[in-house]
Amino acid sequence: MKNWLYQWLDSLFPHTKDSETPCPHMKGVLSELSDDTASGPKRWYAVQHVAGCPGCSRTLERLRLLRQRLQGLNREAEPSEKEKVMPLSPERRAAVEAAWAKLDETSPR
Amino acid sequence: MTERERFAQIAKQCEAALMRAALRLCRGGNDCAQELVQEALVRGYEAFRAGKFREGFSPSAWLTRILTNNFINEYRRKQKWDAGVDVDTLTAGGEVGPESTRARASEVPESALLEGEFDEPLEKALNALPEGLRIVVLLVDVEERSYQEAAELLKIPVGTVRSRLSRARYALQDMLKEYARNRRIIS
Repeated sequence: MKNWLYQWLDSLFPHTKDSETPCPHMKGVLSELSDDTASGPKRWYAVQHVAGCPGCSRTLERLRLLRQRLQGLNREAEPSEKEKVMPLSPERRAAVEAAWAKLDETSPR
Repeated sequence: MTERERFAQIAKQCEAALMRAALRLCRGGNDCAQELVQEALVRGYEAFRAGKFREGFSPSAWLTRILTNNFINEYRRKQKWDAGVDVDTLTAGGEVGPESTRARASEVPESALLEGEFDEPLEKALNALPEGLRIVVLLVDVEERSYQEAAELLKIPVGTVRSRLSRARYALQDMLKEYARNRRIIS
């Protein structure tokens, strides 16, 4: 059973009845829950709220999935054929090598 | 093996990942991406020689950080940062700003190329975000940097990082939902 403090706090805000939409006062904190940066009383309240609110619970789940997908963009695995990108042009590569050589000359180890 | 040969080997391994990150930052502009990668490899070698690369670091993540930092510093130097649109007052409650405030595909440099390179709804949705929101997502969600680090790099308060991130994530969700609806993935 939820304690009186939570029930009192929760009664202060308007809630959505929609199971697809988060409650308006929860949008920011759900974003913080999705990356585990919410802390203290805010986190305590949010965790309890999400447990009993289908709209916020669904939104949190989606935000977490979104974050996973975004993290996946930085993956080091071999890209698929579709994702293969153009390599550095020969001119750029030559400029990089010249800059490296210059660095070695100006400040030898 | 010389220090330079060791670094050249690292650079070769990371080149594709760097190009992907650079194309994302440049919204698909190939010249811009090539320049960013070139600069990152030169700065990276400088840092490598200075002993800033340590065992256990992921070479690709390390060089990507150098690349992104250069991009942000260069962008700021050109005084383009947040130019035209104030992303902090533009939207509220996580909604995407009005259509009139978003770049049209035809206004995004070489967007056709981007579509060819990254035929991925998430990449396209990221590309459609206003610059101030997009860069925060790239730093915190894609590169997994802390709010504090993103705030320092962008020279904005941590609270602004937090609110931009929230707005950006909801905007991305909306765009992905729309995409799924259009593809009839969801009803």
